[in-house]
Amino acid sequence: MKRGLIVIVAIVAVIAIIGGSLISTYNNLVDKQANVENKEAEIQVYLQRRADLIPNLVNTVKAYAEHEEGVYTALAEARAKLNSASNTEEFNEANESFEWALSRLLVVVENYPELQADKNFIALQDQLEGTENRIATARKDYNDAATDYNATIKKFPNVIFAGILGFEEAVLYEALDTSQFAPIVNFD
Amino acid sequence: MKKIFALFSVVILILSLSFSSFAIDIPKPTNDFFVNDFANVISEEDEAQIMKIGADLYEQTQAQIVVVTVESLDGYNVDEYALELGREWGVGSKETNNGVVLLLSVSDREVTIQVGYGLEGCVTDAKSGEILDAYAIPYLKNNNFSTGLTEAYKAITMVVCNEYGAELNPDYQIDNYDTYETYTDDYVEDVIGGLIIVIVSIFMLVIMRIIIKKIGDDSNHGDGSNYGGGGYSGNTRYGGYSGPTGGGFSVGGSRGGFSGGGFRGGGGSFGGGGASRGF
Repeated sequence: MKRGLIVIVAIVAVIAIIGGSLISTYNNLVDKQANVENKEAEIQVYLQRRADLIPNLVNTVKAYAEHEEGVYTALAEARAKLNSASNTEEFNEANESFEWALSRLLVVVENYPELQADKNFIALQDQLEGTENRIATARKDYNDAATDYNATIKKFPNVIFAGILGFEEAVLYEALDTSQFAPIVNFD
Repeated sequence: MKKIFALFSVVILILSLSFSSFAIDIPKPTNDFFVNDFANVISEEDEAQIMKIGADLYEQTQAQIVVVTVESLDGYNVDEYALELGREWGVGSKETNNGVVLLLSVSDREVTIQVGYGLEGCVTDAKSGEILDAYAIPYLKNNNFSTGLTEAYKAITMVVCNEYGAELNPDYQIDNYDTYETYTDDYVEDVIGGLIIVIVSIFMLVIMRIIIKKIGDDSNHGDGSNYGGGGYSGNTRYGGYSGPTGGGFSVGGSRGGFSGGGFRGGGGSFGGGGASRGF
């Protein structure tokens, strides 16, 4: 009888220890995952903010460069797509065409020296550049968070139950070299 | 099996190191903290002036504006360099991220203003660019780095002051402060003033709680704790001096100026706001 009790107590203790560590592991993973998601959302915020700068920028550019309708239309379309995107995949796709249209606009800008000297334009360029920097920083922060999270779910013993509990590896942004930090705007 | 995991961990560690934020070899801040003239281009008078302005602003608002000059950016982007520096040094307070880094690289001929999260609303990207164009670039072009940086520093301080409603000497005729010593005295007075406010606040809080508790007991509402917060207002304003929260206005080190303990960062962070120029 006494022996049976000891066995039961031992079993309960083992279950409690395993269960306890499982719970704390789970909670830790949830925290890290939430952090990754938070950083991802931050990137989206800045991408959106960049898109919102465009109408003003285009208006200013238009005043100096009237005959570049193709670029303005492409930008407006890309921005509309970005705003109507209903999920991350659509958003990223729209963002790609948006970035392409934006780079075309900035090529156009280089042909108009008076535009580049315009105070309003300089202010908008600064905002654009600042937002580019914020995007790059947010991506790097996201990568740091995702790397930390990925390392945690791959470590022993987390690796055993991370899969069972549905913690999937976060995808990293690639090509984060310094050339991408402020990819577009330059003031030499 | 264990070996595989060990190997795996090493790979992960290397991966995580390669992605780590502080890839750039950032120099350590000087004891002056607000002035870090590694490239040795700022005159002594200007350094002293910046120190006074920076310390005064910090004292009033907990905001920290640091100016840094480097010989070279080691191939890094000027914005990225300044941002990592701001993060590593923890410029600004941890709670409000109210730091600004003004960085100049002599050989790259580039200058940037990087703004902590908390000040992005007032020192906007456009404002940063404007400040550089109006106050720094005209001097920097002629290799007058000292004046260019000092003027830009003043301009940034002005913007931050407006945001906080702080009262700095309007045209920065800071000769009013004769020496560092008198400045330190001002600071000590402020600390004492701050302590008195904190003590009075706590005292009032205690009395308020007693009164509220009495009212609560009388009327049986019981939820007096909601009213307790008001009395702390003096506390947050001056809270940074006491050390643990605001970060590092070290009283012991300020004997005979700032040479002893000096200043250090409060743990503020940066997100990429600001602007930069080549000259």
